[in-house]
Amino acid sequence: MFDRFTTDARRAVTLAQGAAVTLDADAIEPEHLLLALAHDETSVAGRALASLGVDRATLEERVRAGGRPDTPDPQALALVGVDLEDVRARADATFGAGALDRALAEAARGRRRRGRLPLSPAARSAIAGAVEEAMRHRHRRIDPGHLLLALAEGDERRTAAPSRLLTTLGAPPRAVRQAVAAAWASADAA
Amino acid sequence: MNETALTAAGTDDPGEGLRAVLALRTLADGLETLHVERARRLGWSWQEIASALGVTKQAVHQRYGKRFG
Repeated sequence: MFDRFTTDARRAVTLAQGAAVTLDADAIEPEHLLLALAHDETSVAGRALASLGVDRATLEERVRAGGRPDTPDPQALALVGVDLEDVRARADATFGAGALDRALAEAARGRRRRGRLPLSPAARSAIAGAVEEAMRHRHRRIDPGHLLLALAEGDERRTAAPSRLLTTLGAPPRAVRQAVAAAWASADAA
Repeated sequence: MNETALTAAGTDDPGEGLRAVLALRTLADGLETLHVERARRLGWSWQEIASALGVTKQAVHQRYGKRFG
């Protein structure tokens, strides 16, 4: 599947894997691919996103909002009658000061330590979209630019989330196409 | 559980209810880590811990084996 991917396109998939693990996802989703593309600032996609003013921190924040927090929300626990302070006091009385917080941090690390995650059907669909973009441009290799185009374009059923997110951040599909074309042109000129 | 808790558990706002479930899971993960570690230190076998948690030995070993093996 990845044999025609450039080194930085492969790196994007690896980075997406890391993002998915960090965000405690069950699979690599298109949003994680988008985060990975934004993270690699020197790639065609990274430069295109920067030129569009898509802020990496904002992007991460938006994607992260879907992830699982490391510590339980005390107010949410109170809704079901559990007093986190009370649980903490009991645990610390038995196991020593700070025991519960250490255990919560350890549990969060454990969740991240799970093995390799699969690509979700939506992420596969985005990767297939990148291959199609390369064919459409008559490019032999698939680079991060093609991945970004596929994510920006979206596909109504499956990869709509990154497309919507980019549009919200001021990068609708048409603007992304122009920015990627410009990033390719400057890479060719260099 | 006291009366307030029962009322809260019956919240008719799905968002609040789901938020509470997520927080409980996160808390339960932390408590599980705490007790599995202690059980191992006290010499419990993986099988004993698994039975107490109602899961398979493989599941508990896969989760904690590397850390508290």
